[in-house]
Amino acid sequence: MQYVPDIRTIRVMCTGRIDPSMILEAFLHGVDGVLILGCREGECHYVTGNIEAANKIDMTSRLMKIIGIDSDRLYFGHLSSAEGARFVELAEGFTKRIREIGPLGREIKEDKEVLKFRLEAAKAAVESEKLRWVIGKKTEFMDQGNKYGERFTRHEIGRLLDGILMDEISVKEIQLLLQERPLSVRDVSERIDLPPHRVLRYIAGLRRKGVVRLEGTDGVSPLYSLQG
Amino acid sequence: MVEERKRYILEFTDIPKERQSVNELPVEQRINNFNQVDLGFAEDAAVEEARRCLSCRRCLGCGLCLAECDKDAIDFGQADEMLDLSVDFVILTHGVERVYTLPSEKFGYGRYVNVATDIEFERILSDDGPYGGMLIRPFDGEIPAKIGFICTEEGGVDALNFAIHEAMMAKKKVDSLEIAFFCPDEDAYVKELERNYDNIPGITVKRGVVKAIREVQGSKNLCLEWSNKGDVTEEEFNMIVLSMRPQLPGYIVELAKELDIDINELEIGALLKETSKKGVFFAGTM
Amino acid sequence: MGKKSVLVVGGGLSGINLALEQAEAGNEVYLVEDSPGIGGERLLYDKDSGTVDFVSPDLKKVKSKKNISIITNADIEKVEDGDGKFNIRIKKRASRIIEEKCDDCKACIEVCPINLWDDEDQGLSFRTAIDFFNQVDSSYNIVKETPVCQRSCPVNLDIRGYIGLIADGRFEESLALIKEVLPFPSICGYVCPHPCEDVCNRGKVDYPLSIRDLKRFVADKEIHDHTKPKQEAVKPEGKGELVAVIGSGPAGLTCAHDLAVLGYGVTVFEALPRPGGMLAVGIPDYRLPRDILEKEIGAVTALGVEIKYNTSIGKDIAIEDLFSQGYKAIFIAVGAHKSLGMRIPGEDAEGVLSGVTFLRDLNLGSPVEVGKKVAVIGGGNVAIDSARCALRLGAKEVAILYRRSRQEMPASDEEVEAALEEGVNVEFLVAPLEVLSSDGKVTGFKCVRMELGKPDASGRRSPIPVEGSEFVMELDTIMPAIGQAPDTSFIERGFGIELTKRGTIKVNPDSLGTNMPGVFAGGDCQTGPWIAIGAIAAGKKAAKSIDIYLRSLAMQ
Ligand SMILES: Cc1cc2nc3c(=O)[nH]c(=O)nc-3n(C[C@H](O)[C@H](O)[C@H](O)COP(=O)(O)OP(=O)(O)OC[C@H]3O[C@@H](n4cnc5c(N)ncnc54)[C@H](O)[C@@H]3O)c2cc1C
Ligand code: SF4
Repeated sequence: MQYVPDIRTIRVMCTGRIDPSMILEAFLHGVDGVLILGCREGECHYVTGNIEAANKIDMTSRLMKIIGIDSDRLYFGHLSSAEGARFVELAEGFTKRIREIGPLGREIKEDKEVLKFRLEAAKAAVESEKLRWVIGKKTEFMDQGNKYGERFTRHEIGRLLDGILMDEISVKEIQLLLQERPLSVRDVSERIDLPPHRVLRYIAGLRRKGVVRLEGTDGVSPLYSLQG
Repeated sequence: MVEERKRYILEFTDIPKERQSVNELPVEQRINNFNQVDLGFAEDAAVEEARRCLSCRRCLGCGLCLAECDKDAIDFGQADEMLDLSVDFVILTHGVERVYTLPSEKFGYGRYVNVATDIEFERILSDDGPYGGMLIRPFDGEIPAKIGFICTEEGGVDALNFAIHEAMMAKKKVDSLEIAFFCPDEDAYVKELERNYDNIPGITVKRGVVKAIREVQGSKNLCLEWSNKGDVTEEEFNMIVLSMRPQLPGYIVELAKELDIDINELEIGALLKETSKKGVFFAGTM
Repeated sequence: MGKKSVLVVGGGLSGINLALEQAEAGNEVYLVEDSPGIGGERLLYDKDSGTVDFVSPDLKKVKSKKNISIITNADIEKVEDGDGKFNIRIKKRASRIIEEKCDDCKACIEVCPINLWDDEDQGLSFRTAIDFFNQVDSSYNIVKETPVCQRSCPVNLDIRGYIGLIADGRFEESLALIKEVLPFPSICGYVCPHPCEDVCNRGKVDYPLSIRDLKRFVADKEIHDHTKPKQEAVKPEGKGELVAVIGSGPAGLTCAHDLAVLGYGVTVFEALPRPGGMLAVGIPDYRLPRDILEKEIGAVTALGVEIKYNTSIGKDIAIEDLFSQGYKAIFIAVGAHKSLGMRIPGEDAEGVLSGVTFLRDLNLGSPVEVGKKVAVIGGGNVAIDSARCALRLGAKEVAILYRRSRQEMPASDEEVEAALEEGVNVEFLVAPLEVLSSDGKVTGFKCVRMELGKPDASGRRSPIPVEGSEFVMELDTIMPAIGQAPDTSFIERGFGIELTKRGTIKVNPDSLGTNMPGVFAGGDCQTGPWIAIGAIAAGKKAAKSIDIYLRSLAMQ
């Protein structure tokens, strides 16, 4: 390991055990990149572990793109245990790329707080049951089909994930803000990267679901807070 | 991301993206021969083009709701059912369809979020609507102090009537609300409004033609420019409501066709009456 | 007066009130509503007291009335007027919720990952893919959608699926998916007027997908790469029964294809020396290359379908003889080839040549002549094709005269664009009055300018002549292309197949069966001139019905 001093290794039993929230947690702790190395395709000890890993990592990198973090900061490489040279090659290549991009947050013009906030929302999103469920279904959707027996193409899965992720991130951001204190639509919109009418629509949807409630009004602006 | 009427919103990372172009035979080479003109896609262009597909789908069939439902009340395999009936009478009712081509560019519908149609406004007012009955405007959810209603000639007096009722309801919700009606300088409209002055205190009526609507930067209020006999005036509103022309819903038109009824007979606004087809009635009221 | 039954269409406030009124009068009421629930609140104005309020219809009451059946999420498929009664077929779309079990706990809404544009609330908020309809009527449903593109396609092609496969680079699978329903992917890839692209949702965002060209791409790829189709056409096991198909257009050939795949012996009778119908003798080469057409038709004959050319039913063989020759069922797919006249004076002068005749002669290699100055009358594809062909044959000036405006023009936009690009002159709002001739030869054309009148209730605006705007064009060739009707003379001589008022063959829309048992009809001869994919859909439907018919014959 002395070849690549910037890297800290964490061992896991199987890449399939890595949860997207762990990756985001690492970024929250300030790492500049996460390199995940696992067995070669088809050589997984637990049969489908690295396929599941690929699905989860793909989702995480989509999520990173959405919150404005360069998705090159996350890389999934494959090698077998006997390939020491390849390990060094992958690790060096990765550190070189991270050096080029610079420290975490460079790509976001805003301050550290914003970065932290977005990462927290992203983490809350991936920890939600919805995303865990959908990502867990990905392989099934492509091979056997969904509840209606319709099979999905890779392209369609991508579209679907992007849509759900963007919604989920926005909803989690709104929820995180409302947790602090009651806010108006404009307040929320100023704090997150979303125009007021979209915030309003999400809030209307959340009220419908009983997640958000009306707290009162401040002049002409209704204030909202999280339900109990 | 664009939000269109009657369309669900997906968010996209790749918009706008041009259509990929197919190769074509140059015009000069098309004379005196019958060679193929449209030459089709190259492979990479085809893949790029295919990637533009939104893969439209609503329920994705993931089964999470079923997993959550303790009552086991969801059946993904349920099939459509066919029912055959034999009845003595048929009554068609009209519903609330509107013609959507009407609010032309100049009214800014679709471009300015605070320009709403009368049907959207009905939803906003309704306790059962998206905002739980709170009168707020669609851009930032703030309570409007000043609303302009535009009644167009295409909308007709029926639509004006509907708008008047909405205005009354809006006043009920926000007492201090100022309301202005813009309507054509014609007797029919003015009479209809005059009949209702007493019911809507604080209403002003502006006769003339609405020239243009402009969105004010920042506040997203709407600056309305109208003219009456050459005089042009401007006024700012928090929100604009457009009266739309009512229209028969597509399925009623289809049914009328099948029953051999001339659709011009189905008069919107009319009370229940029998059509030229014996046994078929039409109720044109909402 | 005894108990009557009433159908109320529309579950809004007035529908509900009318239903209650009828029920109270003791009648049996069916309340049919398109959306998943009834009775959102609507404004109501009380004229007497001058008050306005939201009135919630009395849902509890309608729901509890024994003699009201509420049918939501429903389309009325058919209404028939018979013997003082109305026979009605209603399709109740699946809600996918078992109503008796649902207790409105909202757990499903909370977890559903899909956010939809809320139609009920005019898009002002979100709803999830599984959701209740509104607070008043908490009936739930799942919004499962067939994409609009697929719904607009007469053969219901899985467009989302095949485009997704192209995006994934899986071209062969994409083509295989198309071929599951469509026997002629190349032909459609070249000439389909793509109703799917007109409705494509992406069009609301920027530009619609090039759905047709993508289909063509995968179909072409098979030809260019010489990749053998995955499943070589295997000649299916014969079932013995013979079916006669009249006409080798897309309707006839599709039906023949599907029946052959099911194992029937099929003979196609074709009056002309070439197969393909209007695809071969209407559409010009520059839009649909002959080798593509031949290749796809070849795939049908490879299944064992026999095409008898130069055999006109009615002339060479009487239609009633087909049964005695051993055919158990007949599919009539003779298209619409009889050109309609302009019904103006001077029409029979030399130099007046109908568009379809011109294109047919050209496509069959017969000598055709066009003059120097040509006017084509009409606004459909036939008009555009005739004009573009005339130009290619050396006409110096070609004008298309159409009596409405560009908006109403039925020809597809791309075709019009291409014609304009090539130098065809399109004159809108012009109608012909008289053909001028000397020595029996066309010398000029008297026309009048039109304007569009007020829209009628369906929004259609009819053209009306502008007084005093008559003018004369000097020219030597006039090609009317204002529509075609089927040539049904072969049926009219006896046999007794019913026709419609419009001169098309009358069928039961569900099965395409005519009034004669065992005789089916579809394609342009049943719908009037339409599009190839429409004819293909008819061919598929007919094949299904014929299979059902023959199996029921065998059972007896
Ligand atoms: C100029 C032109 C351009 C067109 N362009 C397009 C286009 O771009 N895209 C598109 O989708 N559609 C286009 N169409 C329409 C399309 O070609 C037709 O809708 C389609 O071909 C109809 O198919 P069909 O099988 O019903 O009839 P047809 O294709 O018309 O086939 C009927 C066949 O029956 C034969 N027949 C007729 N009578 C008898 C008889 N008594 N005995 C034996 N055989 C008989 C005819 O010779 C013909 O071969 C175009 C049509 C024309 C005329
Ligand atoms: S984007 Fe267009 S082609 Fe793709 S599924 Fe939607 S409607 Fe169909």
